[in-house]
Amino acid sequence: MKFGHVSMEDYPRVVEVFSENLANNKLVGSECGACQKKYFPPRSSCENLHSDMQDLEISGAATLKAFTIIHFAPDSMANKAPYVVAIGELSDNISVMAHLVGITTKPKIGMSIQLKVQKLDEKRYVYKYVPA
Amino acid sequence: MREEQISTVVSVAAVGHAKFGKRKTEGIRELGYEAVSDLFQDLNMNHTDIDATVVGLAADSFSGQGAPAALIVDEIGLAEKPNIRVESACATGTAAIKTAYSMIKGGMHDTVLVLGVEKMTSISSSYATELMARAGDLRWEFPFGCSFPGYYALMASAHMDKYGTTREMLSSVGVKNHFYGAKNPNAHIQKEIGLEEAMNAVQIASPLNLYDCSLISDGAAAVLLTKKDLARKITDIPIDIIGIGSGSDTMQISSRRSLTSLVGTKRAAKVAYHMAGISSQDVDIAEVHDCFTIAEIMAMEDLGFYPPGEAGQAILDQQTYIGGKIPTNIDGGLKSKGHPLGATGISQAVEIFKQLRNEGKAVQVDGAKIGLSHNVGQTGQFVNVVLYKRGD
Repeated sequence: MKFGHVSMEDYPRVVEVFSENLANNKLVGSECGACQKKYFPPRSSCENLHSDMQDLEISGAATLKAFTIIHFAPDSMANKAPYVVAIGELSDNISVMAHLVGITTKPKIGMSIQLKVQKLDEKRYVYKYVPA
Repeated sequence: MREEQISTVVSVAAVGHAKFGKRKTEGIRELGYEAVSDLFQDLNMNHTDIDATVVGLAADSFSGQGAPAALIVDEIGLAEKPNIRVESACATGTAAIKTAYSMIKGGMHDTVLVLGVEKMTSISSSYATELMARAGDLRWEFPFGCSFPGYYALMASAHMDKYGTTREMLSSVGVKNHFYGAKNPNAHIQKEIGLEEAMNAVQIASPLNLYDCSLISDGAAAVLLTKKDLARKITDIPIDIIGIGSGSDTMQISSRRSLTSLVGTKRAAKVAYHMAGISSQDVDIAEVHDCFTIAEIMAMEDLGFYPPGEAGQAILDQQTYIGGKIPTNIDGGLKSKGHPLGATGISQAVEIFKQLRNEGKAVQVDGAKIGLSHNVGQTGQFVNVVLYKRGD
């Protein structure tokens, strides 16, 4: 299972597992068993050098912190432009970048948005924001 | 011995600069050669008398040459001297200066040639955009196609929302930098632009348009660093390095607590001011990293020249022109002079060197004694602030 609109690196296990969770419509990050530091998307170990990582399913409710409309895209995304790249703030001090789709008017910082699983094709998934 | 080493003052004794721009007929070796030959022109020392070289070149992928630092020094006949290559993305130039400074301070070498080179225009601008996007987290942010301007556009959207920073304020940065770039013979684009024209340019990553973005350029710049007593044998007016500070930030922009300032710049400035024993009020001329217009506004706030949220209005009010509170990027900045990654931080040193020695000719800050160089890699993952003082 692959992740992202485009990808450049080989898929390490943590991304494989994450993408399989996306395919099952689940947003699963990770939480350190030793210091409770929470991550989304997941990491295979914690920044405090602990390795006891456990699954953390998130709801995806978020607030829009920043956004841009990409008109001139990197080569690999040129056929998808223009698209909105947004940063949303979820709970537990977690903020995540994703496309913001399904908007009818100009996005407003502070608006409620929802992180959701997006299926790109049978083998490729990503997550996206939609207005809440 | 140790006390003597610690008290060693490191000075810039000479500088050189290649023409920035689309240099179709030159490669990295010709560009490096041009900056070095400019430096040693009329100097009472031979380039082979230096002890070592530090070469800053940010990205092999632009020119295609692996181990470019070896090629460049070989081209200038220094193949047998100690050589080291430094990379910190767009802050590569000041990282090279910091490396050479530390070598001299530590007693490793006395006289070090610092050379920054980049050749960026051999590839298309859309492929260059692709390469620069790969400097974002390849696993979790690149897959969303966030271009490099996109990262700064995210910060601009947050800054505009929080402080009411306007389209006009952003464009006034570009207008100023082109005003001065038009007077700089080494600048990539020597042309003034109007505010209306700048405000209505084609969108790249909204709210940033084409005239908010710095240039993709070829170029090179060089400085000769040495102990102050040796510098005095080369020049009557050495320019001393009186402070260097550095900072960094998270790889993923989404992980940052603030999107309206760079913590790396704040840390770097604080350390550099402390080391020099000065404050932002003592600075007479600033060279700040205007890779995008919003970056110059944030830099002026993070460096302490203006409180958060107030730099945009100050720039619009022309406070950062010569004659204003703090003349900034009066060589055209990255926006008009150009931004050949590895050369940029060294080019800032070249401009400050000239200004502090009163060699600016048509564009000169009268009586300038202290200059500040602010150089940012990526979106703040590498930041260096270097303070220079006239040392005669």
